[in-house]
Amino acid sequence: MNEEKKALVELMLGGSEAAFDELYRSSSKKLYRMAYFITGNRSDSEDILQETFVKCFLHRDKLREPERFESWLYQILVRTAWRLEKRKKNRSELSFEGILDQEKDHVRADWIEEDEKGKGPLGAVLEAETAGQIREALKKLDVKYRTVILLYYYNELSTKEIARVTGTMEGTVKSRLFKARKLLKGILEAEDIVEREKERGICHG
Amino acid sequence: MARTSEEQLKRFINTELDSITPDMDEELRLLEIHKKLNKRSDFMKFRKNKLAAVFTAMLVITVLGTVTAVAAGKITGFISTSDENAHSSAELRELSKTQMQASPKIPDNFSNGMSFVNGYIAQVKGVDDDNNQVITYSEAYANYGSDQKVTLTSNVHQDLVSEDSDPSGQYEVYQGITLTAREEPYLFLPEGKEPAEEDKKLEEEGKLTISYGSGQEERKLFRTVSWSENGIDYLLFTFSDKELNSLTAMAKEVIDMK
Repeated sequence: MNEEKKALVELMLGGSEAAFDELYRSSSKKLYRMAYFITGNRSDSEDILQETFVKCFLHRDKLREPERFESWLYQILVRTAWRLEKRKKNRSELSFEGILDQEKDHVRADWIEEDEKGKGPLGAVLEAETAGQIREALKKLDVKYRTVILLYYYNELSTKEIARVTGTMEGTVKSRLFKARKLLKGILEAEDIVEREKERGICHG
Repeated sequence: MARTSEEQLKRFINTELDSITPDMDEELRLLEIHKKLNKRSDFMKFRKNKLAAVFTAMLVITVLGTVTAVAAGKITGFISTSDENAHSSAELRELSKTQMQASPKIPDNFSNGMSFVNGYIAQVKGVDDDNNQVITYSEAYANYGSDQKVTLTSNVHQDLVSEDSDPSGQYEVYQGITLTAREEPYLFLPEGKEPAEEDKKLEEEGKLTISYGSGQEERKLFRTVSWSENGIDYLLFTFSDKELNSLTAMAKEVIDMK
């Protein structure tokens, strides 16, 4: 965080609404996009964004280190989004969580690093997919997996920082990250099979 | 080709998200946020002041829990603001005279070694469901002790804010004054954390008060001793490990003050 922003955060912590407004202006777009990635819904994203900034100002006395402002803001946003998602119980959301063996995934959490060393199986699948397919696959992930994907790839937080933001253990974050990537690969491959089946159907039709 | 899949995914997500533009105008949204803040900040002010005293967001609820029906509607919330701190008990007594038009007993220290640390006068507003002001009065807060913090509050008696009789309270008459001692369990939860089913049940039964906004989950006992003397209502309270009989002994010392 640069000195100018740190000064703004300190002013906001002291109750300055003008500083709060500036901080809002500098981060609202990014936070809206984050909310959108988690919820996939514009109206919900708008509500989450507003609630995040309301909470930010009302609970500013809880931020002890100004340097942590951004990740603290992410923390408010993520938890607000999760609560909203939880409330929308009746929504039909396709989750692929069940297709993986939980125990094995914990053991395989360390594979993330290994997978990063090479192109890896996900890389090969991604290369073959269209943007639309990847977009749809991401939407199908459970909200907790989408969140770690977001914080890791978009916000470029470390697994340790993600653990703080999401209020989970670092091991859980690694596990979710690994699982998210595996799920993504599984969804994309499954879609490929369906697509191929469709094509074959048309050809034989 | 190292980290290709990582980079591909990252690039994809960034490209996707950077193309998303909110529907609402940024400045209009800021106005909405300020409206919400104005609506909710009054209540927060109260919580903050109380927190400054101890953990006293809870006191709001405690007082609220003992409020009876009022003539002009029902008080359903209290808002409190204060901006002047007293650094000595003498200073707080002076502030009480001017702002409360009363002279509550505020000792310098107690025989258990607890001394006055700081204090302030809070302007308390009782509001109904629609946020209409039903009552307003001043209340003195005096904090004692650094580790085992105990707070003494005093205000001119308000008929609209009278306590219900409480079967769980312990009563003792001292110098012709009835002292009421209570012990109430509190559960502090981080904002948004759902209480366990058994805690919800206890709350419904009035056996537990749940308060949100804490940094971490904590269970504490809120101990109070209250009494009225010469038209002034007093309350000694603590979230520390101080036992009720210690608080009662302190209350007696306040009563014994000339």
